[in-house]
Amino acid sequence: MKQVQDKEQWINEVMGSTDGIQRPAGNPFLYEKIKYKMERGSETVPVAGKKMAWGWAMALVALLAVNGVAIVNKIAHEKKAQAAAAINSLVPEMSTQTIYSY
Amino acid sequence: MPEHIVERLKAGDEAAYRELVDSQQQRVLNTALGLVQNHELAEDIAQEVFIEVFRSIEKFGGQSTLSTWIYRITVNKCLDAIRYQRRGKRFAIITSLFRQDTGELKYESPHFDHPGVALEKKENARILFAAVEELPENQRIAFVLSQVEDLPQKEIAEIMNISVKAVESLIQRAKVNLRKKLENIYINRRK
Repeated sequence: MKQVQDKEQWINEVMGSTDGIQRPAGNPFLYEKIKYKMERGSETVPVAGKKMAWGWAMALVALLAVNGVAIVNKIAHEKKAQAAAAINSLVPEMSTQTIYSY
Repeated sequence: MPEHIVERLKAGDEAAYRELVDSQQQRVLNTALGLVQNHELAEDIAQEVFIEVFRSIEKFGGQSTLSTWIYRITVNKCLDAIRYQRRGKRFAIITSLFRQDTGELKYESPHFDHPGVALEKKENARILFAAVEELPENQRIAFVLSQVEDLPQKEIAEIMNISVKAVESLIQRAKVNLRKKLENIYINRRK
């Protein structure tokens, strides 16, 4: 019973720990920082956005590269198959014929 | 809030910009601190909030108060930052497999101390903020605006664009969830 009471008391204390919380002190130079950022003008895109954009660009390049490699491989494979077919078609003509009817 | 500040901001009055930052920065910073639980990130967000306010003041139609509008921008910026951090954490796990130095997040802070909490309550507040971090987004926003920023439910409803009843329910559910989490922490500490 006492354990339950202790637990409830602890939870209540934790839950009440933000009672009477004060706002943090302001930064007296915040306006100057904002003004500097605005004048630089490049900070509208947050770092997160830039990183994301780079990430997507890299992913797109990688996708295109993989596709390119696949296409080149397929073309090479088809050329090989065509060459093999051409050689195979010449085999009967080039082969020596044996006449069995003496 | 200084009088006629919206008109002055729309007219590009620099003194009005400064007045707005001076009069609102503590609210913005406190809200951001409660939500993102990191001093450096909260200050970056505060700067982004005011830049957004100055750039889009023309679009402010006065449907809500300027202060509510600023809170709304703050909450949205915080949510963007929280989502980015979560993506970063997931991405860090993958990249750490390839490069050892990429696992660290710029704004990672496992033990958050709110500067406005009384000294004797710091330890408990640290536990509470860690539990708040695990709440679903809407409950987290409602709880922080209510408990940390001490806003009335009507204003929270306007900021979150939901009904007062919905805010009441979100805060209630947040408290129930927090109590469950704290109960688990208490049991684990006893083991």
